[in-house]
Amino acid sequence: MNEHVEILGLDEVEVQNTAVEELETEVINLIFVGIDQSGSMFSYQNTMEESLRDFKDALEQSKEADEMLVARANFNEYTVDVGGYKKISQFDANYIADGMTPLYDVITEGTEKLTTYMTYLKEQGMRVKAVFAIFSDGDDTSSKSALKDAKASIDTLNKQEITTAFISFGAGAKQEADRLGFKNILNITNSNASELRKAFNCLSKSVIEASKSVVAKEDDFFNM
Amino acid sequence: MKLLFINKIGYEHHQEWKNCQDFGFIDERTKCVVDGCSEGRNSEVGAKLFCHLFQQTHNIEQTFETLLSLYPHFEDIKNHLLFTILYVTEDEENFYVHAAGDGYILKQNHENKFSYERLDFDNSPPYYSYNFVPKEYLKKYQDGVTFDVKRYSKQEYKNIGVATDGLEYLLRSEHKENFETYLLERKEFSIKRLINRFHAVCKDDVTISF
Repeated sequence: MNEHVEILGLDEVEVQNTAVEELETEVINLIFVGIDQSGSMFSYQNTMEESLRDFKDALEQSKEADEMLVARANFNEYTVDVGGYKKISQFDANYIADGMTPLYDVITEGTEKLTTYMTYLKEQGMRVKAVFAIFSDGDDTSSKSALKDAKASIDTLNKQEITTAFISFGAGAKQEADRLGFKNILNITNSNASELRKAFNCLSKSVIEASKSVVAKEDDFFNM
Repeated sequence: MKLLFINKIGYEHHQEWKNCQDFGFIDERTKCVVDGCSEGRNSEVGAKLFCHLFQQTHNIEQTFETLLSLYPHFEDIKNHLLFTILYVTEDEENFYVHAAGDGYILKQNHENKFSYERLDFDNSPPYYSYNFVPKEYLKKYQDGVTFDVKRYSKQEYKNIGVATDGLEYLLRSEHKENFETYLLERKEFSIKRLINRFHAVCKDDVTISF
């Protein structure tokens, strides 16, 4: 039996993401948001949904909304689902937590898809900036990719002047974010619902500020 | 008809870290483009200021009165107020192109064919500000500069616009057909992206008000 081979061509990039002709702008900000859906976040499910809704509302109401495309990536033991870059109005704010944490997998896959789409947009004459943000509460526990692969991905993003940002929720994830080479780390040591809301509030403000900026905010991304 | 306005820095100015010397505006009454003289130290400043004032007043004399109160001396005029001015007004029957300087008139007929009229003064365009420069400093245009007004009937033309001379590079490139397709569909951002994509082709700043 022939093995199924998927080739990501131009059409697929347009279908999975937003086709350039749909954009009423020549400047675009790509926002990647990786959301940890592992079981350790179970007790925060409702707060996460609320925070994701607030995040969506803040971006949708900002003046920069037309110049942003957002991809949400969900990751837990059962799935690493990296969505396409779409208008913020299409952002899914649902949240379910279960299983372990394939952090490295979401970073490698997310980087691949972001850089592919970014290249496509640039080739179409768009001016592109990007933010690659991960929210997680712990170490990687179930990836197929190795630490070195994820590290190489973050290094690639940093070299391309893409803002790399990590929200570390609780004590576990900070060291991991440091090891991976994220240039911006928001360290939330008191893990509770109020701090979680604040973290997403900070993320939405930072994303909006980064979108306003002419050049990428490489190491001063988080806007407290 | 959807208004279309493009203002892009040319490749050479971009490479040389210079400002874009073109500017312009478009509104329901007027389509305007201006192109600062490259010999003026900051002609883009005066050009931009002119557009902001002219869009408010729609009156050339009044606009220059304000500009000259800010830049009263010969050196100021030389460095800030030398720029070409092309603008289009219209009434129910006609379009009127008012020109003081070089550039292009873009014409779209009712069969949706485009044609272009080049206004060329062999690198010495008649800047309106020459009217405020002492004659001894002028080699040409000592008798003053007035706006040349051309009339285009709406029976013949669906739309008339203006562009700065930087349009030349697009028109003589292989991208002319794409440009005209987007122009016909009034896809402003597609034209901007086309220029970004093939920026090296567009050596000079280009501004289109259509």
